[in-house]
Amino acid sequence: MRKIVLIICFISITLVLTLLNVNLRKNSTNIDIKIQNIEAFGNNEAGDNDPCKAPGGVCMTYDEEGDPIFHIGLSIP
Amino acid sequence: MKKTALIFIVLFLAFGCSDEKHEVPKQDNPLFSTSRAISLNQLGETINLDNIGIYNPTKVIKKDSLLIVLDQNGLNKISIYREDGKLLGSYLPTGMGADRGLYILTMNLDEKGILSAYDFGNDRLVEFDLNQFGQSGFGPQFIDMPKDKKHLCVVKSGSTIISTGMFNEGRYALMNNNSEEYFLSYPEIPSYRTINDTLRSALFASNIIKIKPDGTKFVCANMQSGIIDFCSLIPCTNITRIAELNLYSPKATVKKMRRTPVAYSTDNLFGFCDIEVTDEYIYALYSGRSYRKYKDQIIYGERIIVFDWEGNHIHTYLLRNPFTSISFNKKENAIYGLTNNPNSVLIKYTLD
Repeated sequence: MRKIVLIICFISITLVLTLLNVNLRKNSTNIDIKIQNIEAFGNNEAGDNDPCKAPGGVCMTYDEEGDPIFHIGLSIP
Repeated sequence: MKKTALIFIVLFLAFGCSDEKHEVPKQDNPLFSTSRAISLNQLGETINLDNIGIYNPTKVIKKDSLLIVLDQNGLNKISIYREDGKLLGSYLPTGMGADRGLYILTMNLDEKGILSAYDFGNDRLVEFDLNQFGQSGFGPQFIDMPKDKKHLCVVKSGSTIISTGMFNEGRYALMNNNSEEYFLSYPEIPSYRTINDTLRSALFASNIIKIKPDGTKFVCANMQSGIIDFCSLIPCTNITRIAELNLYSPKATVKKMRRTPVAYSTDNLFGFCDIEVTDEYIYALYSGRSYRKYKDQIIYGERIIVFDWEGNHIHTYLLRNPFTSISFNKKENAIYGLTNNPNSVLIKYTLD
């Protein structure tokens, strides 16, 4: 019986580690996508200084000095 | 021993699913389901605002024979018209400084005839006593908010001032005797567990707050998610939470070192557009639209969810005409919905 419990424990730990690994991988993919989004955002920035184009809510941006500015609008990537 | 092993497995499976505890099944979610849904067909009067010279307003409140108009993009932020379209007064010309108005999300008319609106561009609450309308002293009164913290949504009832904003100390600020105290925590969302307090307050920056007419409770609905918070103001020096409903969480990328630290996904469903309250109920205009599909029409609400002050879902009005804002008229027991698509029209629905 102790053997069975040990096997279950082993399987559980393996499962936990696998899930953790999958989650970490998922997050790193998200980070990649986020970086791509930021780059895409930066590319569009040249001729357009308003990142809060869509209506709705409060849009927060940082100015060149790093101070927050608030507008009406929806911030989208 | 077998029993122990079984308990262990069950606990393991239960723990493995703990991240999903905030999800409300769609069939139980009043934002998506049609349970307790009523079609709001009881059409009352319709006021064609374009025909009387009012174009693309943000919110319109009808008080007796007056139309009080908020226009976020107008030369003057707040104007008062007679029902036939005659302009009686324009206030808060666009800009910063004395007597001016810049960024006003919404406005509120209480039962005592006090119209209030918060201008987060000038960091002050603007009040009009409509009982004095037509008299020589009528005009905006300003209440400056503390400058050390950015306030983004402020409401007032009597001497109570509640606000949300860029607060690291808590979700809400309550002002008493010119000093502010902070209460409650921000919504807990597993995917944003690691972000700092500043980013968390930016993520939940867009809110609409309304205070119960008797001043004992308030409701705060988030515009970028399905989160709605019901709070108590008893005693009046304290805020306690009655219920927080997370009907869905916002989808956004949150990153400090970026020009826009919070960028909502184009698939994120816009949340609550507007709220009106009575002593019994909360009428929450809900959009559920994504930017990807609806672009600038994202701010239109397709249903009005009715809650009681304990946070229970009472019923849902499915709207034939999506509205950008609503206003409740107690005298007429009616809801006025505003649409600007294709023309600006105020539509009255008499409630049962």
